[in-house]
Amino acid sequence: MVRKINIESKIVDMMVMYNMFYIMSSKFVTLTRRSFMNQSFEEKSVWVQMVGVLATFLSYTWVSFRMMGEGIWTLSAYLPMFGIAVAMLIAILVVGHIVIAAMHPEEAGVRDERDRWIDWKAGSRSSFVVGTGVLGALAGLFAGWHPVWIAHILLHTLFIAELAKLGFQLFYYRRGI
Amino acid sequence: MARSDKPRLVIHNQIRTLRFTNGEMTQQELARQVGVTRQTIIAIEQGKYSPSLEVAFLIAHVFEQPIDAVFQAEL
Repeated sequence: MVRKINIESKIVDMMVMYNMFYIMSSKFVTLTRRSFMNQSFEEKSVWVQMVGVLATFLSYTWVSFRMMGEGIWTLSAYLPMFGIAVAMLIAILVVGHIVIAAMHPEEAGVRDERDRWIDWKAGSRSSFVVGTGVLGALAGLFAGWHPVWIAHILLHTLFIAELAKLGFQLFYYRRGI
Repeated sequence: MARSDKPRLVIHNQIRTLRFTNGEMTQQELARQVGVTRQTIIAIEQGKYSPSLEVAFLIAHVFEQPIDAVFQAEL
């Protein structure tokens, strides 16, 4: 009898937790969807680019660092990986932009002065990343680092600079400019 | 003039009020007439974005008001 009550109370607890989780998650999804639907096409486009660049950056970094760990120090061995990363990025960007354009076809491709101003300001703020990366690669070159390292510093500089620019854009879209 | 000495200008606007007194004009309709996105009108109304002079004059023109009846600056 006691055992039966315990099982029943656990089932009730689980149902309460499930309901709480369901309510919280559905509220989160509703708020996120509402916020996303209220964004301009350009802001949605920045989100798509952020997802694409981040996914490409993380997967390329993961694979290339593993390759370096396995002792592959020929630059040409990384070229197919780079090609796949670029193709992956293009695919994510194309599919992502088709999806956001389908949500509001009338807003697709519309870009006004606020979008241009945010684009310019974010680019200006993130330009230091490129400078720092190039200087780092040059320093590595003079220090006699392996060309694979130099190439990866330059490549990662481009990825990180783009991520910084997209991050600044989202910041200015949310906070205001 | 040093950067810290630069006067801070706060710009207010009456766009929301003017929309309602002009036949409850929607943000989308104002955006269409001015040639910007609806989100830019929202950002201007919320004080998150100060428009260019061109857009500011266009907004005033839509409401048939002088520009200082739409935008006010406070030092």
